[in-house]
Parts: sequence; structure tokens; C-alpha cells
Amino acid sequence: MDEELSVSLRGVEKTLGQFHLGPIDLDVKEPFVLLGPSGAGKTTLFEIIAGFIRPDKGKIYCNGEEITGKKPEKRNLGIVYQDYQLFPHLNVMENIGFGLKFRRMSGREIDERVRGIAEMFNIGHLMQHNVRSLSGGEKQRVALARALVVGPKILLLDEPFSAVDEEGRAKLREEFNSLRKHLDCLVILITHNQEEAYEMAEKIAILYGGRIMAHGERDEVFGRPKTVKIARFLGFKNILSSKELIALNIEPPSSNGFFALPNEKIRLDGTGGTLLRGTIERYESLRNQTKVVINVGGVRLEKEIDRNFEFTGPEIDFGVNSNELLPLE
Amino acid sequence: MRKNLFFATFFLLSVLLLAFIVIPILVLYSFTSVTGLFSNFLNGDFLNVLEVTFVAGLISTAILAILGIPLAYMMAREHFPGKNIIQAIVDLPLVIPDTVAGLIIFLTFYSGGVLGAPLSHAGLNFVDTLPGIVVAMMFVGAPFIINTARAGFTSFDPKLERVAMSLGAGRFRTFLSVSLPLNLEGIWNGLVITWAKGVASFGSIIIIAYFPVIAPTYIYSQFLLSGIPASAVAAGGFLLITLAIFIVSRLTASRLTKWTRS
Repeated sequence: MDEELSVSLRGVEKTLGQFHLGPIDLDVKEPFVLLGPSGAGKTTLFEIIAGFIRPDKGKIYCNGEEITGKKPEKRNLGIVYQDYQLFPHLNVMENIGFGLKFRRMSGREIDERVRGIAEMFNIGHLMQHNVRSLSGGEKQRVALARALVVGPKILLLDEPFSAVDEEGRAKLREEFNSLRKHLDCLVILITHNQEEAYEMAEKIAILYGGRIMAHGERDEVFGRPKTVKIARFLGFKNILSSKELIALNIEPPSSNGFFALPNEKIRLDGTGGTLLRGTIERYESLRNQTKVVINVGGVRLEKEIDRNFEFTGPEIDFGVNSNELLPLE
Repeated sequence: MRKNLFFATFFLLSVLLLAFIVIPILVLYSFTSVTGLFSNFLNGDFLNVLEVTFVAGLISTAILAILGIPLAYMMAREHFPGKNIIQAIVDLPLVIPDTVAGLIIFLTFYSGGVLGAPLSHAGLNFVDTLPGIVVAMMFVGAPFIINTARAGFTSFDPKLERVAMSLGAGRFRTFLSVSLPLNLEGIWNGLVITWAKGVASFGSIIIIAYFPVIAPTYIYSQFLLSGIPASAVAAGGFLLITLAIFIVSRLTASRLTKWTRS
């Protein structure tokens, strides 16, 4: 990319019925994922950036230029939705060339541009096809080609891999990553899928209840949740109060508050500052692991263990280091 | 067994209703003959009546298309205060008796009426004129085009329009290049029903425009002046043409569907 591409949001707020989004402050300068559960406000934020919803407060900047009041058709942002939203009354070629009709280009130029990008995306042989007859991967390519042929500076992707099953999703992600080298624009992806979020960008923000609750490098965001809600959203099962830690004879890092104990920090190898023995209350078979619920003096902990682990009886010994607890707000 | 009983019950009830519609039409044709029906088309009066009826129907439908499709789109896509009230206004002509509609139209459009007075000054008169028939047809037909087109606009994802806008199409171009083509079938069906409602109207038209005579008025006067056989022949001829147009329109709708989906 020759110029530095960026999207910035400053104090963006929007109220829709009972739901309030913001204030959102965000700076995006490299491939970025906005992660959040359903109802967090991801789509509202997507539509605010794209210009379909006007924020009640705040400003939006694209490459340094304020675009808050700019109409969607003037923003030069490409968008790809979850289900691709290919125009059903147009064939592949007409879909890809749709946006070029609104630019000052001759029919020949349009034709050349469309064929060029179609070849690049390996869909040149599908030009006259009905979009309904395409596979998921082909639809994705057409949707991307349609968004990119007009040369957007920013590409917004709203849950682009969610419309298919697990296997298809992995394949679509793989295909998308192979197309990435052609994307001369800043990619912002919105998803509720954590695995997808982790895979697609190094910079991540978590949107929860209309607010950005975490923002930064993906390992930092995933590994160090800041609040109880985010820890729960990210799948931390063991969230313990300081009282519960004291009951377990673990010295809490602070006298009150909550702490997340990551699954891998419940040590079964005999190490750990505090060694504990608990009763296994329940076993649950997962695909590759066994989940056990351990009761230690009334405090319940969940631990996912390798399926080959040999249980020696109804009790289990494990260790915990208090400095590996994650303090939560 | 239970499944068979379910389908048998529903089949029987459906057949009863269809018979209720078809039998009276067949009864009508039992009062006429093929030669009688074709004699209609050699009758200058009848042909004039058909021309007036269908032309007025086309004009009213065309005006309703221009005015009604934007309203249908707004009702389908936008959220605004008072939307329910607007929907109630749209549906009003459906609950107003035809003769009351006729009276309302007359009082509004006669040369002393709220709209009739200024328009008559501009040279547009409605009493016993084609424009009178057109406004009456528009009044009773408006809910049909608005409601049918509205349902069509809600049948496809508004994200398609958003994609078009993100690609550089303004609202008008998005409407013309995405919303309209994707709702061709809904709009066409709405126009056909609106036209059919217009040409079949009698009570709403007769008060403002007994003349020029439209088909329902002609059939009624035949019934009063010449009795059942003469009115049945006229009614049979009118119905034949209307049904033919309706069938062709329905076939066109299915072609439009195939075209937009192919």
C-alpha cells in the first residue's frame, strides 16, 4: 500500500430503541477484526462506518478525511456481507461490473476491468453464470471482486464466513487468505467467531454491550481479559472471587475482586504454588478432550483434560500458581 | 391415515370455495350463447364502453403506479412516526362502501368541490367525464398497488440496496437498478389487480360519471332496460375479455419472476 490507510472513530454514539452504542473511539491502521457476541452492536458500527446509519454523536475519519456526513456512495468503501448479497437479477459479469457503471468509464473499459479482476480471482469462466448456481467459495470471490473492482480504500467484511457450516467456513477462510495478496486496501472484519477473529488479523477489538471492552494485539486481547463479562465471552470457565480463592488456600493478588483462572493454568503435573485435591463431580466428553467439574470444598472448577489422561479415582490432584490468575474488573 | 384425512378435509373445503366462485360464472354463461357472446364484438356501443373502461383503467393504474410505488417503497423500507396511521389511510378505501366512495369522489371533484373547483377553473372537469371515472378508479384501486408493491419490496434483503450504494449508486439509481427490478413481479401483480379493481368498479364511479358509460354501468342499464338475457350477453362478453387480460397478465408475472430469478 502506497499511502497509509486508516479509519478512525472519535466518540461515536448511536441510540436505536433500547440499545445504545458507544462512545466508540477506535483507530484502525492495519487489518483489523471487530469481535463481539450477537447484539453487541457490531452491525450498527459497520453500518455507521459504511454510512448507512448516521451517528448521533462523534466523528468518523477515513484516511484522515472526515466522512461523518458523507453519503455511502461517496465513501469509497467496499462491503461484503455474510451472505454476499449478490444481485440475483444480474449474472456474474454484471454483478462485478455494477459499480463501474457509476464511474466515468466506457463500456470497453468496464469490460476490461471486470475481466481483469475476474481472472485474478479465478472466476473468469463464470462470467455468464447465474449467481444462484455458484458455490459458496465462488460467491465469495464474486462478492470480493465486485467490491474491489471499484478500487475502495477500505474493505468492510461483515461475518463473511458465517453463512456456511464449519468445514465450509474453514475452506472459505483459506480461500480468502489466498486472495488477500490482491487486496490493496485496509480490511476490517466483523465477526462473532473467536477462532475466525484470531486467524484473520493481529489487531482485534472486542465490542460488548455497545462498548469497546478490549483493543490491541490478538494474544493480549484473548489472553488477558479485563472484565468478568469479557472473560466469560472469551470462554474462561473459572472466574473466582477473592473469597473463593481464600477458601481454596490460594492467596488472592488483591483482597477483593474477581480473577480468571485459565484452563491451562490448572496444573495436573504436580507443579504449582498451591496444591489442591478435589472431587470430580461430573465428566463430559468433548470431541478431543474430557471436561471435568472439580469440587474443592464447595468451589467448583472446570478443567478440560486430554482424552488419554488416566483418572486414578473419584478425586484429582492439581496445582495453581496465584501469579497466573488474571485480575478482572 | 390421519395425514389422508387432513388432506381430504382441506381438499374438500378448497373445492367448495372454488365451486362457489366458478358456479355463478358458469351460470352466467348458461344464459348466453357463443353467437350471443360474439355479437357483442360487432356492437359499436359495447366496443365503445369497453374502450372507455379499459382506457380509464389504464390511465388510473398508470397514475397510481407513479404515485403509489414510491409510497409502497417508503412504507416497506423506512421507519417513521405515524407509519401505522398512513397504513390505515392507505387501507381506508377498502372499508368504505363503493357508493360512499362514489359520493366522496363526487363531493370532492364536482365543479364546486374542494379539488373540483380549482381544477375546473383550469379546464379539467370530472362530472360525466373520463377524468371523473379515472379519479374514482384511483380512489378504490390505490390500496391494491400500494400494499402489493410494499409486500414485494419487503421480500428481498435491503442489504442488496446497501451494497449498490457502497458501489457508488445514489438512492435513485439504487432504486432503479436494484429495488425496482427485484420487485417487478410484485409491482406487476399490484398493477394488474389495481387495473382489475378499477374496471370492475361501479358504485364508486356511477355517481360522478354515469357518462361516458363504462362496462359495469352498461351491464346494469341493460339489465334495467332489456332484462336478463341482454345483460347476461354483455356481462359474459366483458368477463371473457377481462379474464383473458387477467390470465395473460398472470403469465407475464410468472415470466417476470423467472427473468428476475434467472
